[in-house]
Amino acid sequence: MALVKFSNVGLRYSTGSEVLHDINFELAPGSFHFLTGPSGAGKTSLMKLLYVGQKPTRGIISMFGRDMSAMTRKTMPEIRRQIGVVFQDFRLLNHLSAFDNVALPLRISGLTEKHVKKNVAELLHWVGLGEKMECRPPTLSGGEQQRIAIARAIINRPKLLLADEPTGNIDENIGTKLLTLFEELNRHGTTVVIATHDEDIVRRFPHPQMRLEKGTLEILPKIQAKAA
Amino acid sequence: MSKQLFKKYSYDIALDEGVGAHLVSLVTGLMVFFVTLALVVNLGLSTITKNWVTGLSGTLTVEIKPPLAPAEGGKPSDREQERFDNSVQQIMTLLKGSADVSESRRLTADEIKNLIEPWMGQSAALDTIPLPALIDVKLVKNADASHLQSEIKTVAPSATVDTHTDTLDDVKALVNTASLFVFLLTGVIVLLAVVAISGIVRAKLLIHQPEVETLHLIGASDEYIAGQFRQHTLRGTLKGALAGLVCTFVTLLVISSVTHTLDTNIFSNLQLMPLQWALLIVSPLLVGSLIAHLTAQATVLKELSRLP
Ligand SMILES: Nc1ncnc2c1ncn2[C@@H]1O[C@H](COP(=O)(O)OP(=O)(O)OP(=O)(O)O)[C@@H](O)[C@H]1O
Ligand SMILES: [Mg+2]
Repeated sequence: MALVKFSNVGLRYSTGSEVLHDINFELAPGSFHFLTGPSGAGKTSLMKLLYVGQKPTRGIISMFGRDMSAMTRKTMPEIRRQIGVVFQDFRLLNHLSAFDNVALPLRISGLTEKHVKKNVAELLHWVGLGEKMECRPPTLSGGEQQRIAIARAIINRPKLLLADEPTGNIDENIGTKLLTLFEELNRHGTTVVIATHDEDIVRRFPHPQMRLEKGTLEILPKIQAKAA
Repeated sequence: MSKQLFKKYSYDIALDEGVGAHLVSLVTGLMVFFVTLALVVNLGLSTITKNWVTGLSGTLTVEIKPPLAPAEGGKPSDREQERFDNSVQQIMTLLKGSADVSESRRLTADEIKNLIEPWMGQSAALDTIPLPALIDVKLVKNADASHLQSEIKTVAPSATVDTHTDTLDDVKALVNTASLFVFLLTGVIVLLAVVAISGIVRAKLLIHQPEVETLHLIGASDEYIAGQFRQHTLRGTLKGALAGLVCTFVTLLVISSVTHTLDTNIFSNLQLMPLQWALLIVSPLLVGSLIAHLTAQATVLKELSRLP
């Protein structure tokens, strides 16, 4: 059964014309996709639908086998906790330290402080921010903030990981390390969707692409498969 | 280090920062201040009336007009003086023999002068003008005051009897009106506080909407977010309520020391049991912070349900 299924989904913001038309696709559990397309094509908009930050204006979205239009306010948080998101603008809480930002999903899930401390410290060391746990996001570089955002997205071992331009602010070295991390998580069963402009990354990591062009979606196979 | 981390971590939302962070404390403080003051004033009033009522009811005063003096001045005639003395004597005999009376006493001339002095001044005239006779009467329980009154009238038609009921009714009516007013005022203050707190909380939610939205997207429930506000407003309301209470008692002390020299000091009449004192301190604190807190909580949950 598909983890995510979109059927004839359309999205129109209250101001203006439709930005996504007749989107149809399925994400199998454990799959890995890039979401590509020119700026303004609607990548972030599609991501919003995927992380349940926006309701579609038409069509049916089902996630984890449940019809999202039937979701109530009470059941929504439970769905969202299974999704890890790296937002394009990070959405870090600026008055909290790096540690507390990454700890948020665990605290929201009601884990004990002992558990929180161990897991968060470990992950922050892993993304290279072990020395900056106490720093607040505004005092960190764009790349460092991005790593906090990534750590927050994966701390809870989500079933679905969504990253919107995660390599936008970081050098190639760390970018490669990051993609390797995502592949590692994917191998452990996490379904991954990464929205990116970065042609180089798409070429170096062979995964199928979902390509958005003027609000319409086209699924392209892995680049290697295309070359063969 | 874990202790330090834990101490630093308070709210996911920056509720302690920015405009209006202490408004909830302020409004709760004001509410508690006025409500406590109202409570004390009411308690004071009811104690005073109770004292007056028990002091005055069961007493009456008989007044016999002084003997008529001649128009040109000088002593009243012997005949007039005799009539006056007879009336007094007859009434005293009647009162002594009445089953309704427990005690009766004619005021001395000096006592009467003391009563009149505030109006007349300490002039030599006091010694020359004829004084009325005043008899203080204490009645037994369940005495028939009107029967006694008519008996006195038949013995001495010129005597007047003051049963103090008019004064009592006036005082009671006055105190009741004052109490009602204080209660209404308290109600209005509480209502205003509720409106103000709900407005403050709404403004706060609006200021922090991006953070609230992020928390929602990470998977926080409305209850989780409301819990953050709950902790914050609870701290704020308790702080405010405590400050309000302290202000009330400081105000009361000031009033009490100002009115100390006067005989109308309500606090000398306000003798409370320790339990009543405890109630006076705890109940505004509890009720005030509870009202503020519930208002904040209800507002947060209602407003959150409107967000995407
Ligand atoms: N909140 C919004 N309200 C109205 N229009 C919006 C909103 N968000 C996006 N749009 C419009 O939807 C279209 C797609 O925007 P979107 O952000 O999804 O593009 P994108 O592919 O993520 O672009 P980029 O690569 O630059 O991030 C744009 O034309 C944009 O103007
Ligand atoms: Mg985008």
